[in-house]
Amino acid sequence: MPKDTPDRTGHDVTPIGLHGSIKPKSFLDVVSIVQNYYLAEKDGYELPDNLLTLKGKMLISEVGLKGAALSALISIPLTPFFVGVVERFIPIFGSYDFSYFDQVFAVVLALSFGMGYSLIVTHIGKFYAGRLAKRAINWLVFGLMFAASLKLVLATIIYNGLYATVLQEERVGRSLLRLYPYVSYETLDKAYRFIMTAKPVLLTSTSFVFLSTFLMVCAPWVGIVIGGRRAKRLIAREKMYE
Amino acid sequence: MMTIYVAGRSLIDYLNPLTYMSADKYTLIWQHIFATVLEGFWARFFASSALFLSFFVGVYRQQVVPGIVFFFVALAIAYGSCITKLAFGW
Repeated sequence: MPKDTPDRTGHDVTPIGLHGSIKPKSFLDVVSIVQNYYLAEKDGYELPDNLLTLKGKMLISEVGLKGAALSALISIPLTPFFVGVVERFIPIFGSYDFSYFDQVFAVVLALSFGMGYSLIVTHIGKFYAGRLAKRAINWLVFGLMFAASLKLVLATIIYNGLYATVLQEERVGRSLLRLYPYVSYETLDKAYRFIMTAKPVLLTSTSFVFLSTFLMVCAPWVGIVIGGRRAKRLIAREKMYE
Repeated sequence: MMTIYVAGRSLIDYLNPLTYMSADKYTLIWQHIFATVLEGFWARFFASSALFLSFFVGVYRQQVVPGIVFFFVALAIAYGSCITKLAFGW
């Protein structure tokens, strides 16, 4: 029930309005919904449980899922190139003289896409107070975690599949020889040697994806715990002054 | 098609950089530009700046699309030289 007197007609005023029924398409839509729940609950309104319907929960988790899926789509093909720099197989900035800066830059580049999205989600942590706001945030992070787990499984299958079956010596040799009339033997030999030398990068990439996914999943929770505590403190302080 | 002639040369000739220098010299200039932008200190500086902007715009300002664009700019600068070497043999 609202803490103040209801409006003139005697009905409870719920400041959610249409926002509860907006179909969230982007992260900003989810922030807007969560913010509305947070503000209403902070002001003492008791929102009904079924205001966040099953469809609403699914739509919110879909936003988290889409963001993490986009990150997976970009990081799965690119991670071996970043790890290749750290392992000194793939050149960066046009040179094989891998400086400390180059290797750090490659690691940051590899982590940046997934972590970037996680850090955006972290912002929502400041609204982690109140039953419905918490529930909406949990569903958003659940979507993100689900997509991150799928990314992990997919990356493991792709990298190990490439290493163990597709990039076998005979198979690579035969495939490259098909290009022989069009590409010189020297170039093909270089390509063969490069593929065989850099192949172990795929195994390291699997471990790297484990690490990056772990960070990607943990970062929002850290933000939510810190933001949630801050929100609770803010609410307690406001109540004290009333 | 109408062609404007100025002192025996068409206007198009004036716009063509090969009128003023040899093809080799022109290629060399572009190779130098690519080498400067994609290798060495300036490449590292531009790539780091683009990555920083990617985080600043994407995470801090929460404008995801420009953030992604800056990420790909950083990526293109970091690996651009390898790609041009592979594609054109520069």
